[in-house]
Amino acid sequence: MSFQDENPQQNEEVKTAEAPKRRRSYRTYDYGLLILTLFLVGLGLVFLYSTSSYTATQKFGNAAFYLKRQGNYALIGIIAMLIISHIDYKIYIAKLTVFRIRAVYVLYALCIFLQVIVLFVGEEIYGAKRWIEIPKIGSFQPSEVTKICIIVFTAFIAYTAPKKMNRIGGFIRAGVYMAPLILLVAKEDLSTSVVLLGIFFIICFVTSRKTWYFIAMALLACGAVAAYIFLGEGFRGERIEGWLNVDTASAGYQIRRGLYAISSGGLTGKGLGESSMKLGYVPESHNDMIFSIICEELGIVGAICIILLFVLLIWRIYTVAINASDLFGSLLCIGVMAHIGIQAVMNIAVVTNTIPATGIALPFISYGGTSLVLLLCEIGMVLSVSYHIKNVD
Amino acid sequence: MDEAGSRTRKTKKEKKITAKMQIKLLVVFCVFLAALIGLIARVVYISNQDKYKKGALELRSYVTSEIPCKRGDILDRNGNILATGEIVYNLILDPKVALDRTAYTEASLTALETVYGFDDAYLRNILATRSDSSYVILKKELTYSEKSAFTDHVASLGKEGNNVKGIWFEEGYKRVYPYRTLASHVIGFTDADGEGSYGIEQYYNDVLKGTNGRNYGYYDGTLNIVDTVKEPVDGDTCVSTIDANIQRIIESYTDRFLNEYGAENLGVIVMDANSGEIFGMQSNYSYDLNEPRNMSRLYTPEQLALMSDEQQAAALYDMWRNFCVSDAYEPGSIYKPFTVAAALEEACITKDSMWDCDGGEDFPGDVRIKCSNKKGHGHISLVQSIMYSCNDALMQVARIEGRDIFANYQKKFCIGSTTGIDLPGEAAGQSFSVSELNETELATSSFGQGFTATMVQMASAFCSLINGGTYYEPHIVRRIQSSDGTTVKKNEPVVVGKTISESTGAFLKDSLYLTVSGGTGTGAKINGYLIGGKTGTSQKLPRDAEKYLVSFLGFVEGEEMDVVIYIVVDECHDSAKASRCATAMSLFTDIAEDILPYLRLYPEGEINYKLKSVDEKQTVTDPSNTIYDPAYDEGEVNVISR
Repeated sequence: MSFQDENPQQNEEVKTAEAPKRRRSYRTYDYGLLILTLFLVGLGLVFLYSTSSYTATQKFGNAAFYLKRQGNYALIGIIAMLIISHIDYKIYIAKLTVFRIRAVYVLYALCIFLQVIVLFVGEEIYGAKRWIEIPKIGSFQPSEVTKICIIVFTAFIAYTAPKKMNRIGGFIRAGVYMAPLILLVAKEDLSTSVVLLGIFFIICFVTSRKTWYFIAMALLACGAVAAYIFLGEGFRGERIEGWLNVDTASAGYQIRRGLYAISSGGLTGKGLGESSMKLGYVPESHNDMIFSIICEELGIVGAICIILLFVLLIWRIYTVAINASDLFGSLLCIGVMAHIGIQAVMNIAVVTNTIPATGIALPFISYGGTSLVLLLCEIGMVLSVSYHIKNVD
Repeated sequence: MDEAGSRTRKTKKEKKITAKMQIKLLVVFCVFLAALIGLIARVVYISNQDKYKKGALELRSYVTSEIPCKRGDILDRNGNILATGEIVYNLILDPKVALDRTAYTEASLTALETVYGFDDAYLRNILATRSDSSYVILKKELTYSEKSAFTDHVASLGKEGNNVKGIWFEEGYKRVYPYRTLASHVIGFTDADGEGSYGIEQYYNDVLKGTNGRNYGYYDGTLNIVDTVKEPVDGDTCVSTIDANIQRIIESYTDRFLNEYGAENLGVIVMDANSGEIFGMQSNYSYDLNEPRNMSRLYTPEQLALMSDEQQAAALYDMWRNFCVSDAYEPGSIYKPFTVAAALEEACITKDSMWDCDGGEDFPGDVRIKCSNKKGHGHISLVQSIMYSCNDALMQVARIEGRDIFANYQKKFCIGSTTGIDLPGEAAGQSFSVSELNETELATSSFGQGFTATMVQMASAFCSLINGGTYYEPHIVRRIQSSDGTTVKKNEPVVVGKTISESTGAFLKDSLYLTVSGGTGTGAKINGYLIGGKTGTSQKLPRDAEKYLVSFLGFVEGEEMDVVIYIVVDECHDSAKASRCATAMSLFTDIAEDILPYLRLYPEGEINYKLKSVDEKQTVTDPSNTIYDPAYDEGEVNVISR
């Protein structure tokens, strides 16, 4: 990573200095973002091993069981990221040469197909059908693909007609496009649909000239979600109960254990690998609850470092978005940024019992192959955008 | 790529992110930043919540728990285990943990019901009523196999077995007596709290008990849990002077006797005359130490059903009581050698002095105390007075002695005071004080009537006559050793005092040998052995009830040790045997014959021994065949008429 890559301002200077050269410079490739991503993925694998080794030994007799699987996915994801980063992102909205259909439509259709399929053949885990079992490879979560689809499709709509976004009608029109995707996900997985809605909302909010509409709408959406949560049937009601009475309710037991873990870490933690709560006390300790174990092992200091890494990552994507050579690139980056930001915030908020329990994973760190590969693909898209930043207008 | 890029550029004219969008994006970024910073604050807040810290510690910590210690073993003198502790398990339910998740509750209850057959409603009631508790004992004293039945079942459930939570096994010890009934009165038993009752278990309770360990975790000032384990200290082992084989021989004969004839009380003591160590001690029927409340050996179920609670309790106490130590009775004629010993020692009489017996003595108040032979023994020597158990001569000896000497020697022989044997519930008996010893009292006391003594007192005092005058404190525990086998305390023979001189002792031994070879004790002869001893038949109070206590106090001298064997039969249920000391003597010969070779006291002319012993046994056990002179037996009865 060269010094210049770190800062877009510096890029400006390089740009002028190298004006006689070709407009596209390799130096615009955001190595900072790449290194940061690889660092997060590496760190994620370390934490995953620490948190999963006990459970893996108990279940499979192999401490590295989860690490090996996640490592394979990380490798696939990194290769995919590097390839995607060298593909021009505009190809997503360009018409395919063979069928004369835009790629984004194909992706949209694929997502709808997968979401419908999962309702019929999905593997039921924890009372919800969210996974498709693929023999020999493992389970696959279609909603993760939907997240990419939402990012690209919303960016595409906003890009093609940014002025329409200024009116409420334009927003509603975009919403109609998105509704099938989001509702199909919402049927089985409310929290993921909240993430999707959030991505869509943020892209629209940034594109539109109006502000107050969105704030009003955000409040309305929050109210709707709250109503759904509070009035929702079955286990959702239990989750609220667990959230409100985390110290006593039996539904709050997973979160309660997480809080125990966080508080027993103290300032500097017990040291990497030294967590005692991961020894079967915190369920899903390598998954949604991984942050609580990080807190226990690395303490407040470690938790702040992890959160700062996410801040840094978001900021990196933000700078790429600001400097992108065209609006579509910017919007893609905003979508990715929204995705990572929302998930990080939601996951940590759940673990700290700030919001009711949801099944949102911590990006790059929680166990989950589909999520990791597709997040790396998204970063690949952002890198592609950074790669195409023009030095001279 | 280039193609696609240029096409877009052509149609959309290089649309770029506007300044307004950039500001709004910055707002979004700031919202994320704020949210994440807020979450950092939240993490810091949670970190400082002591309740969560404690919660985490409580999950991993345990309530203070006791680590049981092992009660010390009781061994016989050869190291055979008479009493020991066996590991058992208590089944504990922790309702708090079992109720933590519904899956735990269901899996745990199902497992308990399938393995131990608990009632579902019963368990749910416990969970409901004691949900705050972490410790409910469901079952006590499970064996290892009963415990592993549960753990195996849980293991067989596989993944589902992980939901079985809040059930664990607490280790403990259960007192076990491998020989069940052997030496029950000497060993004693332990109650449910692990405290000893009766016998060595009670007397040495503090030694045997040990100290329970403790396992406790506590929070220090910085809320760290500090684990402390106070290791349990196992109780010390008591090595008894009892020899299990000798005891077994004794019990086989006493049981046979009680089964055949029955008696109110039956006592046997076998002890070493030169140390006070007791090899065997038996009183009445033994009871099963593993089930000390089971009286089925003594009573039929119908009899038990008829008894009231008080009667049952009284019967139990009666069964547990050690007759040899706790009961005092009038010893009778076996006291005569002691009277003679005192007189000789104080030179009131000489070994050659002669006595005239006219069949009784008259005392003031129109009281005549008759001799065993109502016609009188005539002119007899001192030795003969012992041999033929002459009351008249002994009354004269006592009169010469006077009350001071008599009382003084009773004290020396520990008659009327406890011997200090290491068994609980020792009775002192009642003897006359000097001022109470008037003419009549002195006269009756001379032949062992009027005062009471215990078997231990008589046997111990007799030992001092045999061994040349050294009174050893009788004891039943030789050595106390720690659980790893190192000796903590050795009970060396304790010399209480000097009773008589060697020469007096030698004279008495001769007299006692003569008593067996040609006097009242011929029934105690054992082929191949030189047996000495004295018979005793005492008439119990009230005298006209004609109830008798017959006894034989004998000894055998060997190269390595001198053994004293004392037999007491109190009110034999067989009326033909009740008043005859041959009853006691036949028991003596049976027991001694088996015990002596075991104690490495071998008969002379061993080749003949076996053949003759068969003869001997037949003659002794056959009541119709009398090898003793019935006249002596008859004469033993001391009748005091007014």
